[in-house]
Amino acid sequence: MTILEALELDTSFEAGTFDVAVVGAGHAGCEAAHAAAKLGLNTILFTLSLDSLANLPCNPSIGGTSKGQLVREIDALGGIMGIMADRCAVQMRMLNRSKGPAVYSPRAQEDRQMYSMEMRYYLENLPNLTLKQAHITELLTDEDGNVAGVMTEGKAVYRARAVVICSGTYMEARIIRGEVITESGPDGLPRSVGLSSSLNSLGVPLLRFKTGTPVRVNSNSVDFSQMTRQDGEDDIPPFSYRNEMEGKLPAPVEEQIPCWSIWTTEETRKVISDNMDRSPLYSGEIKGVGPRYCPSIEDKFMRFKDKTRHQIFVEPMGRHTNEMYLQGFSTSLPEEIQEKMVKSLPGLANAKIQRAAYAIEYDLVDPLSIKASLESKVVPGLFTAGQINGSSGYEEAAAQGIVAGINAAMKLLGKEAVIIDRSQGYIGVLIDDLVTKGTNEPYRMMTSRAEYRLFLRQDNADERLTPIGHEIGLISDDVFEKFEKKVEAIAQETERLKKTYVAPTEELGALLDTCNQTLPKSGESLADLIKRPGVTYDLLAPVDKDRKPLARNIKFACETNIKYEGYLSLEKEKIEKFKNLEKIRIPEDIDYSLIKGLRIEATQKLTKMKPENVGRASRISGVSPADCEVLLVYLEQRRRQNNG
Amino acid sequence: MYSYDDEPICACSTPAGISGIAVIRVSGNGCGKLADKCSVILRSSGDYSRLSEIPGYTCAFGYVKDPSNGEKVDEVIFTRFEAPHSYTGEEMVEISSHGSGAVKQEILKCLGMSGIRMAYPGEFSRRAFINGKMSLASAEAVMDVINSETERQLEAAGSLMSGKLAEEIRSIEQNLYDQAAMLETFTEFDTEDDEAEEAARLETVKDNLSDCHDRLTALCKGYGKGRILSERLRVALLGLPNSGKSTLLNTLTGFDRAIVTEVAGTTRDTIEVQVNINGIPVTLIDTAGIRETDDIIETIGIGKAFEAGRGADMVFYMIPPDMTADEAYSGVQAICEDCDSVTAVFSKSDAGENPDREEIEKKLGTLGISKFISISAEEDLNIDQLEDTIIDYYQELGGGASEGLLITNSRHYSKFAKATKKLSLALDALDNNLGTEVCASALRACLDEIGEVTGKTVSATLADTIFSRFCIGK
Ligand SMILES: Cc1cc2nc3c(=O)[nH]c(=O)nc-3n(C[C@H](O)[C@H](O)[C@H](O)COP(=O)(O)OP(=O)(O)OC[C@H]3O[C@@H](n4cnc5c(N)ncnc54)[C@H](O)[C@@H]3O)c2cc1C
Ligand SMILES: Nc1nc2c(ncn2[C@@H]2O[C@H](COP(=O)(O)OP(=O)(O)OP(=O)(O)O)[C@@H](O)[C@H]2O)c(=O)[nH]1
Ligand SMILES: [Mg+2]
Repeated sequence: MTILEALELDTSFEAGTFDVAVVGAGHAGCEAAHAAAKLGLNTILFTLSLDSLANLPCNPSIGGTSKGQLVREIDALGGIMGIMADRCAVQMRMLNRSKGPAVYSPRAQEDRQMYSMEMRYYLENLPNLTLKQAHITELLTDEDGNVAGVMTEGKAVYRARAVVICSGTYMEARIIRGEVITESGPDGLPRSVGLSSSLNSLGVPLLRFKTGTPVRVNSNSVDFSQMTRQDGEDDIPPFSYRNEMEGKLPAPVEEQIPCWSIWTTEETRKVISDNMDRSPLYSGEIKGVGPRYCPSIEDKFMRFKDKTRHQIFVEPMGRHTNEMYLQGFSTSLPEEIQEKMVKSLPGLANAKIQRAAYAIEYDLVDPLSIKASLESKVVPGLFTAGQINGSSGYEEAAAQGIVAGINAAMKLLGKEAVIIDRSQGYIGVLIDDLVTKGTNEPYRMMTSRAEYRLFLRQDNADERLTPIGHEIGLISDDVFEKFEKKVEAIAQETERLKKTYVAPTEELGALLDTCNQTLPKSGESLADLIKRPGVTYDLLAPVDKDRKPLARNIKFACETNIKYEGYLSLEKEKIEKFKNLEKIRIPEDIDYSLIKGLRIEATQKLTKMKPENVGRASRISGVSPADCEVLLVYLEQRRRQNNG
Repeated sequence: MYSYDDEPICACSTPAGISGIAVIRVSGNGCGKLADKCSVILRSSGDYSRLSEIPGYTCAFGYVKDPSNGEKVDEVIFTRFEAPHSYTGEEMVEISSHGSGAVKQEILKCLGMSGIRMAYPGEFSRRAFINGKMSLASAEAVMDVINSETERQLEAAGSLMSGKLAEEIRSIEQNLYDQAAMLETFTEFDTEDDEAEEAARLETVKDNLSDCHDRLTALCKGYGKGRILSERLRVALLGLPNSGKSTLLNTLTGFDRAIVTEVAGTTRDTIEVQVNINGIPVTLIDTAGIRETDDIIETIGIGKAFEAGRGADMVFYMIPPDMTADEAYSGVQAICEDCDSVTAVFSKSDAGENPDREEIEKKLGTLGISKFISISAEEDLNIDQLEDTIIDYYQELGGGASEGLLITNSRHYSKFAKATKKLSLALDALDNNLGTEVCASALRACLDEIGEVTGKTVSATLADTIFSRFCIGK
């Protein structure tokens, strides 16, 4: 609908004019609105319910493998998720300590309601930002098809030059528990009706996915003596680099709340297999595509018959509630069966279920129709971020949110879009995967999706992204200065470790002996010593007399850079090659049908996908190396023609 | 994965099939220096000993050698071009060789071993065009070249990787993918099982990776073996005059083929004898003793002796009891650069052990010699040990593998050789407990290389393997 048509409707009215309108105040919407407002644009943020702004409708936790890296990256760019997650954590841990440093991942258990309240309060106080509870039903365009604003259910028309839609799991949502189907959003919230057909009428292609969530029980009814306790940690870095710079640590372990772990029993398996005929999944009632990495418990039992039991975590939902979340136990079986299933679990025989498990189906945008800037290829000025783009997860949503917010602002400021590539961050991997490969299930980040994983670590997200955040203006000069000092300290210390030689003394021999290493015959540099298996930076303290006290993150970075040098250089080689193609831009007005050498399949795919550069083109399925060569020749031909 | 760079590349620029002469083109800045590793200049306008030194736009006569063993592959004419005045606008070398398909493959392999990769279809023309060496009007012609070369390569690939070999490679690849997926689940998800079980599974991964490593190594070795099986293993006997070469030849062959006298300089010309050692076809080469001499015939003979050394798979260097460590050192030094398998043979041990033996072993060790065997040809002492070194060498080359598993394509060879290297890095990471993701990183690099032959791309395949084989997620 055009803005003029909207204004001609009965009872419609002009409600305000903004630079950027963000529809949806989930994790994507909050980051997008924050970034746009911070960059100086007059921004309005819509939500169906201000009481559940930045809601955590599923697991009350932020971070974890690869997701923790995403939070660090968002923070390094100047986003807010890390700060909020630090503030509202009830438990913090560093996962994967027994693995290598590339997959150390911070994870926190969050106070769900506090998170929502803190975020709302913060955004209420942010200059340039207006919050609004309203149901958006129409995206409005101008005569030329460019975005011009949005309209609410109550026909209030808001003008905006860029619109960011972050509707999560709300568009035309249906909630399914066995045979019972309700038209509703998650957590009993209203659903969004009409927005997806408005998008569709503008030519935006839609898909339909599903996801699910487990039951919540009251902790008073739980027998924890039958469970294994899992405590948090306090001697680990917080999510936010800005907090880390100030030396802030998580709350002491005693003040954190523990999680618990249990295993499903034979009885669980039996209840499920006896009632499989009542699963909407198997009866064909659910049509949306569910995620393979986050299967329902019945799915796990059906697909992996050799596994007789599965692990379940029992996690707190916050400080002012008894609700506990059963991670790993999501299901869409009927409520009646859910009761039996829960009671079959150790320590939960008398469990009182406060909220039943459910599956939810929702509309989304086919991510193949969006650019890496997250702007739509179909409707100029429309940006989308979060679950609406085919992803799943709070961190994935927030990561896209900040990029969409930045790029909506860049567009209005007449600047070039900010695109994080696959070698710069998980954010880049996430967006590149979505927009070049598309997805046929809710896409969750995994470290194995990143080909340069050893570089994309939680400890160096700032080195990768803070300069970008600073350049566009999301990171203050003050923070940037501290960041530069850290980088310099790492460089200096690494250099010193390479240049300082240690004599083969008895003292060194004793230290090396603790990790089964033999004493070198002659002097060896500290760096070479650190390269030996088991030898750490800290271990060498007694023989490293000139050592100055350094922050933990600096020591960690030096140690990692040295220890993994050989492997890092393998990846560095690949990154360089990757960048070569990424640098070659493809002009937007290219007409692939004019390139005679391209095969038909490639012409069709490229025309449809409009890749921004040759690297992205090369990753599109159906585009061969020969097509890339042809494209390179064509681009050169075009360049020369334009030059003279 | 498609990559775009300005690394030195090579390709045959004359059509496939047998023609009178083949031209192989090498392009990319620095390509001359790399090609030095696999070229020998015999005659050039100046007195140049290296390909990279001959002036631009001049020719030199010489041969292409296998950089791993110095073996002559084919006599050729080299032409060098300097940037930017060449076809592609980069430094270039053109190699004109005899036209047989096998020779071309062999030359491309040697270039690959020297660090020059195979060009993508049409890459020469594309470089030429992008570097401004071709007119705007030729753009479409360049695109045509790209397409026709791609088609030809696809056709060829089908027949190159056939039957058993394809099966073996796919089976290795599949196994590696399984291990990669297993590593990913370790890396990605909180452990669900107890530690002992996890350690056991990691051990299985390790076993599988080393198994694949062995199989890849065997495949690569098979590339060298293809030639030996058809041509016989060449073993040359070298040493000072009177050191006992001819006597050893006679002992190994079992009859008096060569003349033996106590006169130094008895053997003047090389003598080749075909024998079977444990079923292995071997050509033994007796040579003239190496020394300073004015005798014209002897000088020619000595030249031939060196040549025999260069062309041999193995050299037995004779060290009689009265030879000093310095003499042994300079004697071996003169030949070991051209042959990668030199065995030091202490001859005439019945007449007394060499008193400097320890010193000699130490000195020769610095030249990379590690095999020392003390024999007496007259008394037939330890001759079996000498035969064992021949058998070992043959088996190491892949002589045990069955016929269908021979790699014949130089591109495949270079990819698998790189894959093997990266796989051993992956194994190191596990051995040193550097973390499963570090191992996985090297393993992916390995799969990337294999994928360039099989056409699989890591990221897509890996996710599917993970999801289909393991129950993951919360
Ligand atoms: C049942 C369920 C199970 C889940 N399971 C998992 C899981 O197992 N693993 C996992 O990683 N993630 C899971 N998630 C996903 C996770 O909650 C989301 O990925 C994440 O919250 C998405 O963030 P978002 O910002 O895209 O959208 P949301 O957080 O969903 O926020 C959407 C926002 O848009 C607003 N909105 C929508 N439409 C309109 C409109 N028309 N007008 C105005 N406002 C509108 C809503 O009010 C809300 O503020 C689950 C979610 C649900 C609901
Ligand atoms: N005692 C003893 N004498 C040997 C042995 N091998 C060779 N001789 C003697 O050493 C002398 C030289 O032997 P050849 O085999 O002719 O030596 P060669 O290295 O071929 O010498 P040229 O052909 O002159 O280079 C002869 O007198 C041999 O009898 C051995 O194992 N033991
Ligand atoms: Mg002789």
